[in-house]
Amino acid sequence: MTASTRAASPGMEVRPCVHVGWPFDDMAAMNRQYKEEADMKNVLFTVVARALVMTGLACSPAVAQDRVEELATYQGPDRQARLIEAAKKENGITIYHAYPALTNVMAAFTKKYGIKTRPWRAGSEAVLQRLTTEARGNRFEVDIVQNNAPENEAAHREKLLQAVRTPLTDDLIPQAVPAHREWVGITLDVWVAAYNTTKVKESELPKRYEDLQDPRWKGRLGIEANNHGWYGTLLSELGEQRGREIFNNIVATNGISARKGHSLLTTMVGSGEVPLALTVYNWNPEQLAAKGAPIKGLPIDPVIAQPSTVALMKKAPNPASAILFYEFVISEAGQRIMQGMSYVTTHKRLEHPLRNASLKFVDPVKALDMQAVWLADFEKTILKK
Amino acid sequence: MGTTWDARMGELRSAGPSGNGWRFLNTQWLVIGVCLAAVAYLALMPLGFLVWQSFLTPDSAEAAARYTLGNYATAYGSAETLRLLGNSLVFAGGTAAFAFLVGGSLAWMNERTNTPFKRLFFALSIVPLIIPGIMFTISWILLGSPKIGLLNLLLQRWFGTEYVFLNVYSMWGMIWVEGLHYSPMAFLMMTAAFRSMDPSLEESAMMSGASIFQIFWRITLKLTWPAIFASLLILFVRAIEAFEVPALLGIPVGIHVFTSAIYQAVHQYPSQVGLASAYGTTLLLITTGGIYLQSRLTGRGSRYATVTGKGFRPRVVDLGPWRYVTAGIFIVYFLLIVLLPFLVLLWSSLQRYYSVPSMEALGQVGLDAYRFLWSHPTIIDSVWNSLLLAFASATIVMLLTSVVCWIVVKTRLPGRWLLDNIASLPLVFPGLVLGLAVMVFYLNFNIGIYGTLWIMLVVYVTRFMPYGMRYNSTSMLQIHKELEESAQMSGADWFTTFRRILLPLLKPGLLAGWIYVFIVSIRELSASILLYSPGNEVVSIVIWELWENGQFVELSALGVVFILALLALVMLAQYMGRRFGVKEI
Repeated sequence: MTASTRAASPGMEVRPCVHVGWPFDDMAAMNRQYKEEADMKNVLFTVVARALVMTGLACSPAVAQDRVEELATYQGPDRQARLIEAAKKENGITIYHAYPALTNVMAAFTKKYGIKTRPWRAGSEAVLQRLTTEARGNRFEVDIVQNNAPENEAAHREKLLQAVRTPLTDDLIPQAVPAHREWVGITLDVWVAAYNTTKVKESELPKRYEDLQDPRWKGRLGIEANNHGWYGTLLSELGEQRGREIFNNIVATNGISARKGHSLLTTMVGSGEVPLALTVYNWNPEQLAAKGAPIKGLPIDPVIAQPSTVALMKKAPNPASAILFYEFVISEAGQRIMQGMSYVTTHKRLEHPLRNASLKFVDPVKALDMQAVWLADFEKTILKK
Repeated sequence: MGTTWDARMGELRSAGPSGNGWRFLNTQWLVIGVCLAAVAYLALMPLGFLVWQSFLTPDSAEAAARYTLGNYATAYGSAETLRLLGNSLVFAGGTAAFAFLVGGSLAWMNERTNTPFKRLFFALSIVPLIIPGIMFTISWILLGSPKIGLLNLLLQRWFGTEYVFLNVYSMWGMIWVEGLHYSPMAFLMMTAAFRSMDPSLEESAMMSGASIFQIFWRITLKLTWPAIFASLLILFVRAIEAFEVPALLGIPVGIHVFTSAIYQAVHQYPSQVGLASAYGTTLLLITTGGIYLQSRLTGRGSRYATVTGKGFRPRVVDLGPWRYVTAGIFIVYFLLIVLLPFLVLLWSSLQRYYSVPSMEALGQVGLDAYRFLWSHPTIIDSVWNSLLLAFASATIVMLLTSVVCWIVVKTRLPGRWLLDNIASLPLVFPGLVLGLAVMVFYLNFNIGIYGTLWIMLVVYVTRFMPYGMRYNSTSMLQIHKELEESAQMSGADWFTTFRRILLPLLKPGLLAGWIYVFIVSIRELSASILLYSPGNEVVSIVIWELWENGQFVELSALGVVFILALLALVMLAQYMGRRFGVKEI
């Protein structure tokens, strides 16, 4: 979206902004231009010329922050109707996300409200990096950000997020709703072990982490290389000393081979390369098994989970549409879509066997504060042996 | 040419603004000025960012950035860094040597000998480069892992033993995979060098009774020494900066390299860009050292110029019966290195999930993955965007660096090796730091390219400029100055000489470099992922996304299509080059 279309939206306070038009007003036009002319030289000249003219003339979209806040926290009975009315004057929403689950939800949302979504996907760290860098550069194009709880907690610390007061949060489990309400948990990433059913017999499956010290697991264990959040939380649950002792023993006796990325690790389990992986997301083996692969998930107590969250940007250019999306994701309809894709949702009425009383949660605040310590510990114990 | 330049500079200076010295302010100065400004702008901006950041603490809402030396203390204050650097040096040294050996010998066989069917092998030699890094590495896991590696399983069944023949999870495995993956880089560079070689020296040696080996060792290699050095240098530096192979093959067995530390630093909150930059300075120093050495090596006039005013017609060495041996080597290379990983991808793309080939799995073969690709919402647009970007960046990089290389190689401008160095440094900027530098810059200096394809073009040109420099300077060194001089004697101005004499003679290097930059632009991910925007996805992002989603089978299908399509493009480029380039035999 360009500054001019944004300025056209009524109901927003707009700072006068010299729109020095880029030759293309949107990407589609740009592509057409490419296809028709492929005349890069001309365009490059224009760019240089414009660059010279407008050095120093940065124009920022000045959507009133108050308006975002007002819409997000309004509690009146006509809340929904107001949002829908206001959304009509907006121009779709831009969503930064790190999650494959969101694609189907976005499609359903567009179908329901007729509001277009512009998704931008990257890894969780890259999403956070782009948010913070854009905000520092006074660029506010994104409306909704989806990310792991610790990353969105970091965005909260960066003062980029807007708290949303919606009655729908009453239907969610408490871990999905932090006190500051600047993000909301939409699903739970539950770490489970996964094993290859042709390489591991049912009878030898471990029941507790202690069982993995048995030499029968020599050369058969794998782990994701960046799961220090899981590891830190697990140690506090098992007891620091006992937990560390168990893992030192496992590594010394059997070794744990670390793999970069949960999907690689899952693929490796499915192919037999890693007979038993300690940390995949619960939906990883389920989705692969649905295709017929010899893989099964295996929760080992204490099972650890971390919310995946959605947040509204404080300076969202399309706040009403964004809030509608926010509420759609945590509504029963939105949650059902994700449940259908093997995700553990946060909606109280949609049950899941993994979401039981013994489930332990990564504390996002602690995960941020302890990041360096947990990382060093994980590296020392597991990666660098 | 050097003296001409100096004379002109002198003339210009003495003439002053009112004199007729201004007549030199014509196309020559315009072209040179624009190119110099472009290189300085593209390379110095991220360099400045990197150095500046390395002295800053992380910036967050809670604690603003302040100046510090702490990043350097953290980075270089521990023995751990030295250990990582040691691993990196072994890995990069091994990779460079191995990749050069493979790529260089293939290039020699292809360009300088009468090996049968060699024309076919040109495009095939480039295939390993075309396969996306993740896919190439994984297909080698599927081939050479001790547990499920097909080669191991096959050999074990053959000999009826449990012995593990190959283990890709080792330093040797890493060198093997990375070396094979980048051997086309040496292949392209050496091809260009061999193509522009005057065969008269080899012929004289042969007349004097030297054997083929002696000719190769004492004439061919010596004459192409700048190209050899450039290949080794760029392979070495690139391998130090490599991330995928060490992450997929090294981490599982506890082999960590320097880039893991950089990766770890930026993937935190608050992002330790400063620390990553401090690590990055080591890579900058290594590169600077290498470029300086190269400038010393090639700074002594026209020792390596083989394209001269004399009738120039490259001729090949007759290998006699040995030509069947070299053809055999080509075929083995093709089967082992090109076909095997390709077949693994093809096999996997026909399955519903990857499983070791068996009769049972054969029953599940289907085209679902290809159907998925066909119906993928963004794939057509991203392919189009990638092709545009790759075409534009390859063309801009090669033309821009041809002018810069002319200055570096053909003039005696003081400090010209620094110019070479500046243009070469982007090679070692960690991709994410480069992406971030460009992002921060264009957010604050808003000329409307942020959020468009243009910003990615800027990054690609910056990132791949160093390769253009090496390809062009190698070819430029081979062109003797007498050719330019006679053009000028005949009244041609600089621009005409450059366009009509130099560029056509540079064509082997230009084409080789163009192909290389084209392919690596399509694969670029680490900077693209930060800078692409909704609606202008590129292919590497789609690949990454499939990978993140665990859609390995669909990814394999994309890999297969990718290889076939790029292979066709490379063959087309080769055909065009032959059609309009220097005459070959």
